[in-house]
Amino acid sequence: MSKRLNKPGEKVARPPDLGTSYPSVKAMAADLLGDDPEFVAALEAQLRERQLVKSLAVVRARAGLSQAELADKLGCSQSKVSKMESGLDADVKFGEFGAVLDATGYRAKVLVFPAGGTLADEVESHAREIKHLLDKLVAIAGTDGVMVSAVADFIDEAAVNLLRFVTNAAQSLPNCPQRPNPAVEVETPTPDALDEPKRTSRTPRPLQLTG
Amino acid sequence: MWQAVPTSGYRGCLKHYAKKHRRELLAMLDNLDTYLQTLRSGVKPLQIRHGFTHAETHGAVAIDQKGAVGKVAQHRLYVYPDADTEILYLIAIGDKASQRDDNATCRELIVALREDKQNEQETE
Repeated sequence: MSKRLNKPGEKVARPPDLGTSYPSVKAMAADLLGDDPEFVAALEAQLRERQLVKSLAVVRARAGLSQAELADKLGCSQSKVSKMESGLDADVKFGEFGAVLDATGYRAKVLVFPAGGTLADEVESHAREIKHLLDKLVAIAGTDGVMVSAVADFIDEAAVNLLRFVTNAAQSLPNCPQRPNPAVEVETPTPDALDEPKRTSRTPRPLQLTG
Repeated sequence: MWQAVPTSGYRGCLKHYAKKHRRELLAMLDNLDTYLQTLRSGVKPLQIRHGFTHAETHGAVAIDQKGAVGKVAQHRLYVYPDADTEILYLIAIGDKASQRDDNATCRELIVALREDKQNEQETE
């Protein structure tokens, strides 16, 4: 019999009393089960060994398929899909991985990072990848006016979104004496502004830079 | 971006399960991680179809221990995905015997959340 803490009729904490929010299960377990490092280590190891198979379960869900429906497309049994999704990355063959992506309408791109690299290294690597893709996009646009306009619109929107991610991350950091004020503050448009209808003319979206 | 927010009841359950039902908890948290990643990928809560999820009353979702190593008893981790705020409330963990009580706990929290939301909208 499990231990129950909220009995029926007992007052349940409302949102303001809920406290900490966690970006991941790993972070939540590390914080709430910090006095049981053995369990936390076991969970972290398990999550590390199952990153790829989890991504397969996620793309299946994104494609709106059940395990049985994916199995139909792959020509295998539902239990095989279930076994793959609940197994370890090491047990999945490249061919199976590719077949699932084909069946769900996705493709994979592998990014390689040096072992022991930091999260900051990973962000830099992604930034280089974004730069490379934008360069490719500009090259494809060439001198075709319609393409140039469409690519320019896209780049405007991407710039706003990227700035918003960076600004949100900076603003989420707590204030502390060791952290000087950021040199530049970027005012990003409200979500409503981002939902504006697509513009047809080539007018740059205003970016407000202060500081 | 979706965030996980544990209730006080869930926090207590977590410690109990880490002591008494380690394998089941390990599997449920692993499944919870997959569920959270799926929400993050942009799939709407009602459209998520994983073998380890079960739709409960009032929009709550029970995540079971499928994938656990060895022979384990059936346990469930109850969550409520609030798509408006992108908060995944972690409400309770229980077994078959506590299912009715766990659902009642979920219902209370979800009703309270919806009332709060309605009050906020009325004051605006």
